[in-house]
Amino acid sequence: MKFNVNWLAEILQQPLDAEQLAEQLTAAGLEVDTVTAAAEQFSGVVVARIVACEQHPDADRLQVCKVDYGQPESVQIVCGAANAKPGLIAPLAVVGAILPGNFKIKPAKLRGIESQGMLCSGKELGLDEDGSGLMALAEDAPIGENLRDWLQLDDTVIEIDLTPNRADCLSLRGLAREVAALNGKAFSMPEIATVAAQTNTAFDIRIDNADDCPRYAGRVIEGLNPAAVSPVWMQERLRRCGLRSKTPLVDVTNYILLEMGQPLHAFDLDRLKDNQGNIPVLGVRTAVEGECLTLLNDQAVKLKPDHLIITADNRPAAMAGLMGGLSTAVNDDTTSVLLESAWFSPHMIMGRSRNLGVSSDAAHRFERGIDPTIQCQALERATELLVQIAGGKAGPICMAEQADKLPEQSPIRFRLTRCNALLGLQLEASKVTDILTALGMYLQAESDRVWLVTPPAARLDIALEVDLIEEIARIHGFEHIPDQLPAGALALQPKPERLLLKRRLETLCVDLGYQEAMTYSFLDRNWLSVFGLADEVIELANPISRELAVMRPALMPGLVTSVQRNLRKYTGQQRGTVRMFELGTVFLPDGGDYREIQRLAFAACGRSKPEQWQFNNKESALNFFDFKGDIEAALSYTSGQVSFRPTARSFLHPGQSADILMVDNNQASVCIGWLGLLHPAMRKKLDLDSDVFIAELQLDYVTNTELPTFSKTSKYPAIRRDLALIVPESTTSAEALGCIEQHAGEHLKTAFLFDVYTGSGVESGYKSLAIGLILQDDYQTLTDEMADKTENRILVGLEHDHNIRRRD
Amino acid sequence: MNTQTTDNILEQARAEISAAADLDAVEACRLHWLGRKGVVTQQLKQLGQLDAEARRSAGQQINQTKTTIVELLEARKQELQAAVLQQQLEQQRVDVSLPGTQHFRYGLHPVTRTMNRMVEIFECLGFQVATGPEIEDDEHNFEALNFPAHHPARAMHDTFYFGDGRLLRTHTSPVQIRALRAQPLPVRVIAPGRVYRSDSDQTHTPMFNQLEGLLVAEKVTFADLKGILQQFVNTFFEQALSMRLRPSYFPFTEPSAEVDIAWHKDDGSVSWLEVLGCGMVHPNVLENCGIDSERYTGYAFGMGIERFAMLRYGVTDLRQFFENELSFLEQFA
Repeated sequence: MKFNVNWLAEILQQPLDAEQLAEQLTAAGLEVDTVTAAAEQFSGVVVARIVACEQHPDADRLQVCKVDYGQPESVQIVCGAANAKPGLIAPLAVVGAILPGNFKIKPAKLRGIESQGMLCSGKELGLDEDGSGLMALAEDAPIGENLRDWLQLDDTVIEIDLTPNRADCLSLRGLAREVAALNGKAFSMPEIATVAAQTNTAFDIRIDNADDCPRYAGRVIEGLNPAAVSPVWMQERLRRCGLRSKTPLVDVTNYILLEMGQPLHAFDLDRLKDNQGNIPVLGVRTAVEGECLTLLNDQAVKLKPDHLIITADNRPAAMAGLMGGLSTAVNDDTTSVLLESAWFSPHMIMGRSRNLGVSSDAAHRFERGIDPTIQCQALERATELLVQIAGGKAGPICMAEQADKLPEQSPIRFRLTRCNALLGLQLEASKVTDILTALGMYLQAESDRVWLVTPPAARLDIALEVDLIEEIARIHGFEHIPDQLPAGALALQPKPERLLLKRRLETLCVDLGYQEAMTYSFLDRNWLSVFGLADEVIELANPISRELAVMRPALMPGLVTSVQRNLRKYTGQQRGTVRMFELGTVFLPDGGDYREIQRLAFAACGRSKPEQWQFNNKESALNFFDFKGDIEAALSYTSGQVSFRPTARSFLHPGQSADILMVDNNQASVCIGWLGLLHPAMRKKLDLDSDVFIAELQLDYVTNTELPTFSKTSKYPAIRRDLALIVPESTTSAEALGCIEQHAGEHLKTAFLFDVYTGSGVESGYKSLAIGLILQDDYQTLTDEMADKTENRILVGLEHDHNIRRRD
Repeated sequence: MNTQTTDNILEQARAEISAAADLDAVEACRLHWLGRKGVVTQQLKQLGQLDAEARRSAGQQINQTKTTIVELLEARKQELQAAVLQQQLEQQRVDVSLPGTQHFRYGLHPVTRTMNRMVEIFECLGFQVATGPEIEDDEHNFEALNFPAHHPARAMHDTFYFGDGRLLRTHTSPVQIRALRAQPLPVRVIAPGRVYRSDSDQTHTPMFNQLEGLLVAEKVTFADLKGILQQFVNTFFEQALSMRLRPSYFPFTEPSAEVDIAWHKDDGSVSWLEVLGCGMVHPNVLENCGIDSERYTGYAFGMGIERFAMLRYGVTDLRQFFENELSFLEQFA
């Protein structure tokens, strides 16, 4: 909502300081966006009339004008405007004038002819976008008067960003009530005169949906002068409020919209009439499927049953509260008009303009709710102005209404104690009643601390006691509410120690040398299909773009995008190395439902250590086991047994990828994630310069840890035995270690692999594994014989289960 | 045997020992002079041939000579050991200015870093983290929060929808509803998380993060809300900042306010910057969650985490947070 301060001051009948007003409005919740001068700074510009024009002898496009500017002598001005002609009244910048941009007007010679000043376009004065010709001023403009004074250009335009609840401030009269209350000043709204009917042209109205339109009023005005022009004061007010002046008819409806907040619609009466020249019955009803209407912006709309329409003899003529139809629209030649002034229910207008992509000032107000008491007054005021400007004779106001369906403000019980309790204040009764009264509320005392409060009709946003409390807080000023320190009962919140904190996990990932990334939750279906992940996805109905259209079913594709981008763009010291992790939600369809799962994903390529003098490039190239080690570290806090099993995922290298399994509480083996090298074919497809390792884990398994429980440490020395084993190639190291643990018995504390060897000395089809055993007894010093027994048990078991022999 | 002999021996031994070039040579000296067949040992063996008087005096002399040689050997040995150590140390000298073994040093995402800081601050005040789904239904995201269908307030939320009418939450406020319905009163929660709006330009990304706060108990006032927000802002930014509340409108709070802080810019100027929205929980919201709005009141607030991160770290373009470029991210490690 944009308005000029002078207009508001006129309604309030008091001068206003624009800066102060702006601050006050913002503090009251009517947030000021901009405060601008109504006109740029200029001086020395007067109203002038062109008396005569002659062609410039040396320039086709220039005219030499004789201009009367209220002085005894007229001046000679050379002018290039096409519309310069004798009789035109236009602004003249006299010699010595300063135009916007500090442009000084000096006597000049244009192609040899003297010019004592400059006739100006609206653009040159910063008043208008139109620079095509001289700014034409009204016939009655006083020649010689300073233009700034005559147009009252020393004015300020304030634009406020209104919240949807404050529809009452979408008009100058509404703002006036608010500003009066803010200043604690008594204020009575200027009266609106009635205009007696001069014709008896009337029409019938039929409302089918009284719930949606409890009041529909209209009035016919005939015999308008189509050549009439809106007065400058009205044009200027419209301009300052952001509307362009058009015909007097359009200008008047816009003016009423701004002044009173009542949208009016004008039907061209002659185009509305039927073939016999009769005014049709105007109807208000919901549309039926199949009906169509072309709006005055040329948009053809297929009407739906939730659209409220105005009909002419039951044929759609306008979309109620939204926009009129093209076929009955007024134009420059309109001489008779039917003005509509109605109250439409916000529910019937809300969302329609958004859905249809039709925005109008009318819809903006109707969907927020307009004052339900001013429909006839708006017609009176419009008639008064229109007849003043364009002549014409008005008929009687015709109206259909069902008053009980209009919103009515019912009294709200307001308790001072409640108000003070909610705000943390100790306001006096008088303070509260003063504020409410200044806001136009009607108060009826129930006691000295309780009132029945009836808000003004325009304040449709006030329905509850708490709404009144907000008004008190707002007008009293939020700055006068104290800051209170937190008090009251504080209960400690549950904090399971068993869970690995997300915070700890994040730190762990960072310490493992990974940068946290944050990628979008939605991505491109095509990108997902590259990874074969596009089949089971949740799709947005109204994505912002194709690239952000489906919910991510995995973190990895987004992370790979980040790797790809950084491999191309990153030029820092670690160029070629990208190590990232992301902790976030993935979204999976689950029957008719959706599942949201927390995941942890890693992606890494390049080096396993930063490039440095101690490690050459070959040594530090990231390999499967470097990466797996990081994943194992991330999993090291989990209580479950983790194991790795070769996997076949299409986007991973078949020989360097694994599913990660965990034995859950029910002793079942669950796949909790995977890791591996991106498939070489994928790498080629994605045009990546580097081998990329990726992994994705289910977060809740990663964070599921066990509370540590103390067990007594043995005070007897441990013995280490090393086994060199010949193991069939097909047997995994995990199987060998598993077998050792299974057969070792109670003395084995740890078994670990410290070497893997194939080559000379080892038969083909076999590998050599070196495994260290730490043996210890809790109650005695282990003897060599005891250790030998354990070792033998292990060797027998290995031989039996896996054909594993000791290396000779 | 006479003094001349022992003196000679000592002299020769001294010369030999001091000429010993390494520990082996010192050992050879020891053997030569003091070994079983060494010169001094031989002399001692010959003592028996002397008379008692001469034996005692010669014995003394020889023993003294022996002691001196032992000392000389020991001294030479230490000297040589010190030299060896010195040489070893010299060999082991490194250029201490060479960098130590380097590890990757990355960090958390600045938004996570900011979110963690916010959560920590509120946890100190007894707020507990609550969560809710990111795919929400209309009831939690709008209806229960007092946004009627088609209400213009919904237009402030450009919503992403799914085919079945569900939506991506446009704010973290639906967690208010979930917490109020699930938890016993008093409720004191914060809800950090991702939210989504169909908007994309320099100051908007279709996804961003919010932190919601909610406290519902008996006798909660607007003054409490002002107090906690002022404390939070001061604690977060580690400075006493001027703050102002401007009346605003959110369907789920009444009164509602937007909060500005007086921000000192690099050029020395101060301007009001909007940082969060807040208000007293609307009675309709409480009633929608089955809570007696006469007995209980509460406040709620919501803030954009990226907004705070931008102010805190001087980031100027919101979109950078989601481009995941290392050159940007590594600055927050």
